[in-house]
Amino acid sequence: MSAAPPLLSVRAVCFGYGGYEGREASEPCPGARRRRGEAGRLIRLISGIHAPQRGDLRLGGEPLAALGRRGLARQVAVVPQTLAVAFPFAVEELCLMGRYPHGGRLFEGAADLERARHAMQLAGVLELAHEPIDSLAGGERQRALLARALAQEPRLLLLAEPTNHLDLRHQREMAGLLRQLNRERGTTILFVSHDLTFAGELADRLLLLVGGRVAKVGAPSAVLDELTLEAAYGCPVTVEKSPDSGRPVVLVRWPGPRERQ
Amino acid sequence: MITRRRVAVATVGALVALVGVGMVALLFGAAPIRFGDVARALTGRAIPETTASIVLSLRLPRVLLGALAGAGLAVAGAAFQALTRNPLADPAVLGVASGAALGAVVGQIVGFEGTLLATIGLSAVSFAGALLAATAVYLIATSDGRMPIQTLLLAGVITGLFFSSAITLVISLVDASRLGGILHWLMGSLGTLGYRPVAVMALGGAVGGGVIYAEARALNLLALGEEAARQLGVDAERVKRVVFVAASLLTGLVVAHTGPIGFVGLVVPHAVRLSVGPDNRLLIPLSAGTGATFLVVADTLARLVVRPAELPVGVITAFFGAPFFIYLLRTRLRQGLA
Repeated sequence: MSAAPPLLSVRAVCFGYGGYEGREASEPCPGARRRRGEAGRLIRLISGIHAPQRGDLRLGGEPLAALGRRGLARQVAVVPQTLAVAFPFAVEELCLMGRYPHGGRLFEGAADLERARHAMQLAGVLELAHEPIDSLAGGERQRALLARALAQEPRLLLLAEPTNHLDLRHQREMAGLLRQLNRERGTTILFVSHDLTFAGELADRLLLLVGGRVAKVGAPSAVLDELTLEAAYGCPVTVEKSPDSGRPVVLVRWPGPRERQ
Repeated sequence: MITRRRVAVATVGALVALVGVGMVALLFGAAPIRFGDVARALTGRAIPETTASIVLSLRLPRVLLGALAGAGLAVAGAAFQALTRNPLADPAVLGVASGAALGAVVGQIVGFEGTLLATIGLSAVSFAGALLAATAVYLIATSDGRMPIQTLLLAGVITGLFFSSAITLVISLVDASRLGGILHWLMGSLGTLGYRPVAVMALGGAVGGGVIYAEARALNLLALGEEAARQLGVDAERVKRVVFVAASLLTGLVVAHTGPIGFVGLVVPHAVRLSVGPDNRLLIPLSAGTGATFLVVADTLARLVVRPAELPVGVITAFFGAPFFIYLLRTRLRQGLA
């Protein structure tokens, strides 16, 4: 029984923002507010921004708190949904920031630049290297953020809504890139998505969160079934099989023209 | 990529420009002195004693004081801009300079003047005032860990006004005969102070500037927001605290000896950022050099435009800085960033 500990272990973790429960009663739409932060909260917990109020969070068998900020950043990288950059840094400068946890208090070395450029190439933003981030379109910006995370060379990559700003072609490329990272570099990838078909196509395991609680964990075919999803989302859903991969394709059953709601 | 070499070359370039401008500034004043005599005075060769004394005891310390003050204000401005993620921040806009001024007024009334220890004491109370104001603005403007730009500017203005009123209060309570040079000092001027404040500012400024520069790379990452910076391994709380204190130190040192001089900390880092980009490892040393040159030029103009009288140098920096500030604010509003 000397198997290596799992890269990430999250057990009985519980977290809520202070005073949140008390305020909830006066919120006009508590459900909406609660859902907004759910996924991001999980990413914040695993990337060490918040500490869980209860439960056990480990990376490679070690408690998160024991790794230190830099130690954690060498292993875990985050691709946020969007990012406002205060000053006009260029894409290459952004990616070099990903090298920060790997040392060099003030300056990067030639090896850092090489890794940053490799990451930019993987994410398909090498030709944008000298463009300021704030001049990029949503999809380009998303890929620049992915390049920054890749430059960090993490063991665990966390992504928030990775397909959010992407058109169909770029969604397909994102899927291919994540799969390649997982297979070739051995990077463990955890992403949060409302795009259930994308999630089911790409992931080995899915975790369905409903109202901040774990509703179901398992293989995509087990989690993405009609009954589970209808209970979770409170609306009629059809699940079909992708002709290419055999993975589930989740479709909303749209209301008819005379139907209310 | 920013390398040590690139920073060194740029810094040396800025220093050469500063020395050149400083030499020219030494030529101007009530008495005309030729370049050759200035050069001879500086190298200690034989020239008439009055000329040597004008150059070495009056003009040189003033130019050095101007250079140090300009560098200090510009670096403090760059630091506050990085901390608040806001190019409109600077010691004056944030009210930090007013806090420093209150400290310095109290220090001057108490009688910190005349010895090296008194000069250090005056710098210390001014630093304390700067720190007090900076902390107040920070606490007022932050809610839920965020610092929206409008709130920040308002908090700065209000804090600045409060400390200005406190200065007025102190001055009106004190007997006019004890005010001495305070009223003149309050207008912001480089005056003739000798080498004592120059030495204190050089030393304190090296400490404050060094501390800020040591965090230059981390300050870059703060531009992504605190959460992203922390996810990249930056100890954001520590960096913020350290740079905050160091920028207040620079502000306190400058204001204690020159009075409040506005807009240098705002205009200079922004202009430098427009030409070399936002990387603090290059921005901070170049802001120091450019700020120094800018204030030496402004002070030379202040001595020349209404000759034989002279203007407070703060008037000149404000006449350049205020329109620039308005331009920045308008551009940002148009881009929907403010």
